[in-house]
Amino acid sequence: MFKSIFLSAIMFMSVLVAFSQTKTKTANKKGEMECSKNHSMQQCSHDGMHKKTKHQVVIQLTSGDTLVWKAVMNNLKHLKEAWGDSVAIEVVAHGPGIDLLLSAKTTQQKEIAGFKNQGVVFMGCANTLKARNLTKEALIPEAVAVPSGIGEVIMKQEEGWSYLKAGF
Amino acid sequence: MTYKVIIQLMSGDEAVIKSMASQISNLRTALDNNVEVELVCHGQSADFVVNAGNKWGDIIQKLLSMSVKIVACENMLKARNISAVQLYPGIKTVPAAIAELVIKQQEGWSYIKAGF
Repeated sequence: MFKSIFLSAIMFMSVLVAFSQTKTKTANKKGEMECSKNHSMQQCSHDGMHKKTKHQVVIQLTSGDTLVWKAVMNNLKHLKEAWGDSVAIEVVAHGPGIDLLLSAKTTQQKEIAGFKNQGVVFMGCANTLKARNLTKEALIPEAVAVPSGIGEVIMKQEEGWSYLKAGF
Repeated sequence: MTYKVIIQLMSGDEAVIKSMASQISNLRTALDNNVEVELVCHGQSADFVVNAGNKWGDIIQKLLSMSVKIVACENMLKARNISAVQLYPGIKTVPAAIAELVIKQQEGWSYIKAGF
């Protein structure tokens, strides 16, 4: 008799614990989504729900024009000057923009290496590489491949990142 | 609720400027004028914001009359030795256009890039 009461009590408590954990997770997730949509993270008072960096930007590069590449480097310079380590930046190159990250084509490798050292991530689209019969090895060592450039741009926005389209 | 849209202009190209202006006009019509628009000018758009020899006066006047806020990037102005007083009347400045675009999106504004 006592044993069965004891067992039911334990079962009841574990259900309670599981329930409260689920509830906490939902609240956290909800809080994070509300924040990224409704106000800037600078104004946010509940820091625990946010990722480490204050600002997050994904830059989409689809142009093979070297003037556009220079403009992107200029954008990166100004963002890092203004915000230093409080901005996370990802540059996603796809379509004709992939040339920026190809060893055989880029004119900006030195600049890219400098920004990589400051934490900027450069991503080349694997779909674009495949369409050109290239492999990941064609990318400069500073760059990494992502399965889909356009998918990456969308996922980052869904996670609350700001988006910039490179070009004139 | 009022819609909020930040538009990025990096070009001084005639076709880009004209399409940007008609897009803003169309946007206001589509949203029953219930939209706040900020136009951020940087990159190659200096000719659009400088007063002397400006050939976009009609478009700028129309945008300002629709309560569009037009701002020029101080980094761009500095790179071209342009001071704020040389801007077309009614055009304001922001310290860094690129940062303005990020901040506004984090505050929930929609982002549209002018151009093709």
